[in-house]
Amino acid sequence: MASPLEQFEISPIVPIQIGGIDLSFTNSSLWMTIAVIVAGGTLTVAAGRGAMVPGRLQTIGELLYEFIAGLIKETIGSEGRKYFPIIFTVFVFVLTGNLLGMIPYSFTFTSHIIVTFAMAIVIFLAVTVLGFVRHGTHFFSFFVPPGTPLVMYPLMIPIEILSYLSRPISLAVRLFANMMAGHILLKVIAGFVAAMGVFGILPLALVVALTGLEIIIAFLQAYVFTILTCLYINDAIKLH
Amino acid sequence: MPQLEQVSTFPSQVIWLLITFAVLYLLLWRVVLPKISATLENRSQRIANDFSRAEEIAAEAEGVLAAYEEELAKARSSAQDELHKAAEVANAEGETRNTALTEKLSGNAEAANTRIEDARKAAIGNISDVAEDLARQAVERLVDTTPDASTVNSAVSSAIGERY
Repeated sequence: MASPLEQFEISPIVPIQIGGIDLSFTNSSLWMTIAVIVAGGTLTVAAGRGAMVPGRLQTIGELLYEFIAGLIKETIGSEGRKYFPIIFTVFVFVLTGNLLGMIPYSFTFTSHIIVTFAMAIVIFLAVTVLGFVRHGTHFFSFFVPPGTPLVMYPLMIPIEILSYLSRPISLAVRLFANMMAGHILLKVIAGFVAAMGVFGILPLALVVALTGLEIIIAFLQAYVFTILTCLYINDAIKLH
Repeated sequence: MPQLEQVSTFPSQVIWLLITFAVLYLLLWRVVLPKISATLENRSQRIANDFSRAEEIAAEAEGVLAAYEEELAKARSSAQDELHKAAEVANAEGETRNTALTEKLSGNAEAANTRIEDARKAAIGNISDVAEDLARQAVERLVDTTPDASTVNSAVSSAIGERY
């Protein structure tokens, strides 16, 4: 039987080599492209007519819009409006990647640490730059929680810096680990179905239930990734 | 774990992530989000407009109702006045007609009385003529002499005068 890890293997579809670096169009790239086509196409059609009384698809687009707008308003406030497009894109991209991964024989690009880490490090760097642009060197005060006694500075500052630096890692690992763990679990339990013969009905029922759970997690992790992005932006804008 | 083993695929994954994400970002930022935002804006504006228009119309309707009620009250009071006036006129008219009629009737009655009196007198005159004639003929038959006209006349008129 195939290893439960086989589903995460990257295989090139169109080999591309530029300057000795492998930039092949792989199964991961294919599903990223599919995600863009599905998400972009759906939302373009949803926004398309802009009817006064929305249809089903348009309602989904508007709900998504108002959901993210509400999220930004709650976490960042009115200053967050200008970050709306990028935050909306992050949510839609991650959500679509997670959900497409639930299709059998598809590939879950969000289950790869390099993908989630690339997103997390870009967000981290952008937020840090934003903090310095907004507050200059005053941004360093972010590493000293208000009300800290002077004697605690040598302890608090390294802890705060470490906690700040671990943000991209935790952001990346949380999404990657959740997606990977869910898919491995599904694969392992699905393996029992065939192995247990008639009693395979039990793991089958479990797989059905877990599939539902995984779809919830697909939404939840996209939401968590997005809300943490919002919180980091909020920290950079308002410090404490 | 392929995620950590296939390090050689990292540049490919990152570059395709950047490309696809950028495409999606541009599409959403430039096309989709402005459209949805405009739609939502239009809708909320339309709803606000409809509400204010509804309020205007309600106020207008109230004004119309008040004007109507005022008009109605005016019409009612003027109708009352008309009615009063008409009743007065009718009363006056009735009065004058009544007096006229009464006068006319009393005049008629007088005339009728005179006529009756005349008729009675004429009738009495006629009776005396007939009575004279009758008396003369009766005398002629009974005593076979023609009585004197003045005698008969005085006898008849004294007899009638006794009765009437």
